[in-house]
Amino acid sequence: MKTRIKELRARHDLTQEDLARMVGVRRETILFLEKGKYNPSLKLAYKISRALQASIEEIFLFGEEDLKSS
Amino acid sequence: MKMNNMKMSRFLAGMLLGAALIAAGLLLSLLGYDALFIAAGGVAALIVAIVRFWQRGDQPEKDERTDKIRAFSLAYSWFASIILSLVIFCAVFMGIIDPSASTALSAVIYIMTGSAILFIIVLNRRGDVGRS
Repeated sequence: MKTRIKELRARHDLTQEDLARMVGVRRETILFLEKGKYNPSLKLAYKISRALQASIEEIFLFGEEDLKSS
Repeated sequence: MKMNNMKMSRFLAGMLLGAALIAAGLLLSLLGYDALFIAAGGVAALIVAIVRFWQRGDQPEKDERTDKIRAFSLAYSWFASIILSLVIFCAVFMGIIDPSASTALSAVIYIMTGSAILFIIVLNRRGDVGRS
């Protein structure tokens, strides 16, 4: 899974800590999300989409391989 | 504010627990029991409370990722422990070893605790449980 969190975060001039505080998670969780190493819950994805003012599909990019793997 | 209050409460609880364990360990040692390990546990509790309070800043102590990692780590550690218990049982049954009950229990306790901590560290480094 790839994400555009880093790009959108920069566009809104937010640090990882700012975004983490806005969505109520630890900074490391934002770091792993940006690296595509953590699959967030729908609730967290929704909170991030609201914080970054973009749709979930715009932020989280799933390829065919990602959808096939569990 | 609520988070800071909760954090302060946990810090104070950790300090109190540590102090109580140290006092109990020292008292029992003075009475002739071999209980210095209780005082050592108290020192560990104090250190953990101080380090956690100092390190985390105003970040939440846990979130959905850390909760998931902890839950999976406990499940994996339970599995490791049941395997170990099975191995000990088979070894005793075949007469290879003859541990006392307290030795066998200690082994299981150490494996449960150690493997849970190990899984938490490994999964925290990976970022998530399973494939992503």
